[in-house]
Amino acid sequence: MFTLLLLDCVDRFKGERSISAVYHLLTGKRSAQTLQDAHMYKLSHYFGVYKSLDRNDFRNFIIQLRDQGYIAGNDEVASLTRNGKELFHKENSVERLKEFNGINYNRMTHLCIQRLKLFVQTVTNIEAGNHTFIAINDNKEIQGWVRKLYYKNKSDLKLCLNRLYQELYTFLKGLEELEATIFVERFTGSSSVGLSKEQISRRYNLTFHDVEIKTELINHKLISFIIKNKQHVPLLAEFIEDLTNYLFMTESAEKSYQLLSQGHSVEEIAKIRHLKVNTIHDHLVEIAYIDNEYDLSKFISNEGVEQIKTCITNLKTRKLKVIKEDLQNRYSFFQIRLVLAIHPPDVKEKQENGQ
Amino acid sequence: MVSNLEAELNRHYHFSTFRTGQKEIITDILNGCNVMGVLPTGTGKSLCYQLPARLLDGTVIVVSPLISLMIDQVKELKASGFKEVIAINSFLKISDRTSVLKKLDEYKLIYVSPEMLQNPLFVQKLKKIDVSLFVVDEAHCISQWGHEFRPDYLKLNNIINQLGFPTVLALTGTATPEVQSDIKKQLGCKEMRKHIYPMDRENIAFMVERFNHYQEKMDYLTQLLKKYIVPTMIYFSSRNTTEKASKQLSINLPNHRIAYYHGGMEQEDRILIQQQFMNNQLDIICCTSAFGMGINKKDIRLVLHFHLPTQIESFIQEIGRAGRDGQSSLSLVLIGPNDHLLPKKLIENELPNVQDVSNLVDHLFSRNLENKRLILKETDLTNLFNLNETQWRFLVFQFEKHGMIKENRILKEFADWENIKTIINNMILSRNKYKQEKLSELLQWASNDDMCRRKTLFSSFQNTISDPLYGCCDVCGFFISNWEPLTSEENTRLPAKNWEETWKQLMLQGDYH
Ligand SMILES: Nc1ncnc2c1ncn2[C@@H]1O[C@H](COP(=O)(O)OP(=O)(O)O)[C@@H](O)[C@H]1O
Ligand SMILES: [Zn+2]
Repeated sequence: MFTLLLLDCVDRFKGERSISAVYHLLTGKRSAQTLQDAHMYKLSHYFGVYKSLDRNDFRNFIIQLRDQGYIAGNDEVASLTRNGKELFHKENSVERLKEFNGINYNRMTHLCIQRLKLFVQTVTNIEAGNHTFIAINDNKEIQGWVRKLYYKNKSDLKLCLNRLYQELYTFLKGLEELEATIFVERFTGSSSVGLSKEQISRRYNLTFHDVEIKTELINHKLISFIIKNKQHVPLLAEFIEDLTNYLFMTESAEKSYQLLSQGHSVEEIAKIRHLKVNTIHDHLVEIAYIDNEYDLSKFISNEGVEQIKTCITNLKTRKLKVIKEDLQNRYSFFQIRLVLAIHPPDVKEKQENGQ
Repeated sequence: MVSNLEAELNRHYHFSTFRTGQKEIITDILNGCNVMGVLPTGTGKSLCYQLPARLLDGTVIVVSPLISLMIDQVKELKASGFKEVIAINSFLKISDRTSVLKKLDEYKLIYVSPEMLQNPLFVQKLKKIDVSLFVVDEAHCISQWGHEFRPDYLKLNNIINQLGFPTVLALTGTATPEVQSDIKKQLGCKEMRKHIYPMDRENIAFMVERFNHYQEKMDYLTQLLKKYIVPTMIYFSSRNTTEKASKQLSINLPNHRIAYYHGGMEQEDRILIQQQFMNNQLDIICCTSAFGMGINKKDIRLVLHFHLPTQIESFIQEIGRAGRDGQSSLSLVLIGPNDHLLPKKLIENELPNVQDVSNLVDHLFSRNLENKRLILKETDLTNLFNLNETQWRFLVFQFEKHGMIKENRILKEFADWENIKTIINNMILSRNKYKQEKLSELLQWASNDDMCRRKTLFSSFQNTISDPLYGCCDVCGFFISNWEPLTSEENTRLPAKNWEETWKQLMLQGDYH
């Protein structure tokens, strides 16, 4: 699966981008260049789908593909060989890879699935009468979020479990057997601890990379499923409710983004698109959430950015009004939103050193 | 004060009696005496400060170098209903930290990493609260002669001083008399009551076996583990071998549930593997020394060393994870012809090498000429000179100590560029030499087939050894064929279910509830 995905990327880049552009794409580097590449070569669905990919592993894999005769060329210009093309067209799984939606989902899959796992662990344990379990997730934000949902459902946990069971069952029914199995076996309940990725890879004879890719694909499908069936899966919908509004890049925002990269000003974009300036502002904020290196200097001074940042840290708030008032209305809501966007709350896991 | 400690123990922990040393140590603490406690790993050191934390007015501060252990303990305490605890370390997010600092006095028990205590602002906050007890966990880290020397620990006496000399409790699992007196000296305690308990374990038997090469070890392991399906840990000295051996064993032993664990794994997978082992979903765990810090599994029967660690102290700590329930357990060491090379390398890698130091100092010297009061940027420099975190910490400490830097800036008046190279390099050479000697000591222990292994292993820590309960060692006539460990209840391997069944069961639906 990982092979196909890489071949797909190499093929679409048509030798116009170096191999490291593929790496940046898959790991979701939030730079203007990578985002532009993603759009230009119609690869945005792969954006950030393999964030933990190690640079060396990636290199080795590419070398392997070359040795196997699937790709030709060097690190600067690479293309598929005839063999590569054949492999690529023979397998219909390329179609399945289209279900990725990296550009939109890459920032929320991790949060969503971690919340879900911890919630299941919490509710099943408490329902089974075990109040002293050790959480499988150390992340304070995820824990806090799960705690809230738990309290909300505390009065009828049985019902809550039943609903979650049903809602996810409907989702799992729509997957292939193997996908559903992998998904389920990663969960920790009251009497059994979930399997690690490595254990999954051994049990189902998948390469390490394929486990990563498959897992991520399932996560993307889950999110699509939730969004499409919001009304029918209200409990699941809660897991992404607060994530959707700022992790999405809507099509409309994408258009504005393209115009912006072509050098148009906000007013011009509004005119071209027959939209209000305010709407374009919304789009710019959306983009800022995704593009970390997005140049704000057109909209706000460096000093302004610093002041707003300090204010966020000091007040420990992300409430627009509070920040605006604290800074004596020196900055507009739009400017504050931009700064908030490029400093999203940190949810990445950290790893310890050691043996 | 507290009249009935047993009642408190029962109330908070539901234990009926104290284990060796606990009551004596707690009593001394409650009476305001400084205490040094040397208690074998697994006997319950943490209770010696956790119970006082509940009983004393004010706050107990615990300095611990092991962040993962800290986090595990806080989790456990919270799970048990003791909520006024917190771990403050570099993993706590800045935003969380700010809010924690605001209500520091609301905590009864605060775990901190030694680095945090280097933060003047944090120490300022600590000074404002009422510290009733200052605990130095893994106190051997303060001694240059200890097996895990941590420069940061040397600054603890200054902190104790700033906090106005609260009662001090120094705890460790292993400390030779040499290390013990060093601890007392470095902490600056005039009086310290010593509670030293023997660390030999009467329910563990010892064996050493020799092999000609890797494959021979694997074959032996396979045969052995086929016979004994008991909770087992196998220590390796590298991540690679850990994975490789684990995979090979899984093939050789299809009826065992085997996994590996090392520090290079993703956090989530590490937690899962650890909990699977605790939950008896695994029989064998192949690991590096990173595993086991926080684990608290009582029925580990077999601790194997595929490779030896770098010194006796670490070895004792690792085998100490066996048989915490008092049942018959075994430590088995597998020795190969070149096994001394790897630990040797590990030792050499702990500190920067002499050439790196010269290059780094030269580099800083010339950069400092261009740029007065140069700031040392950790990531830039560690990348440039290929230094790991421990090596970097060591260097920063040396630079500070010899007046070259303060708060990561090169001091204006510093001029001793050539000299500092020599000083640091001599220091590195002598530390490496010392560690090599420690390694030799352990290797010697393993190669001495004429004297009781139990006696020789513990001889530098204690004078008398208690009689073994189930068997002594291979020198004294213990044979593995006579070993009869308690086997755990039936291997609960259920036939593979389809995902629908698994899901139903996991979510406690239908008959499964
Ligand atoms: N008095 C006691 N009675 C029963 N169990 C105890 C007692 N004291 C401690 N324990 C248990 O012993 C285990 C090891 O304790 P821990 O403090 O982690 O050991 P150490 O730090 O010495 O390695 C823990 O599970 C703890 O609950
Ligand atoms: Zn003996």
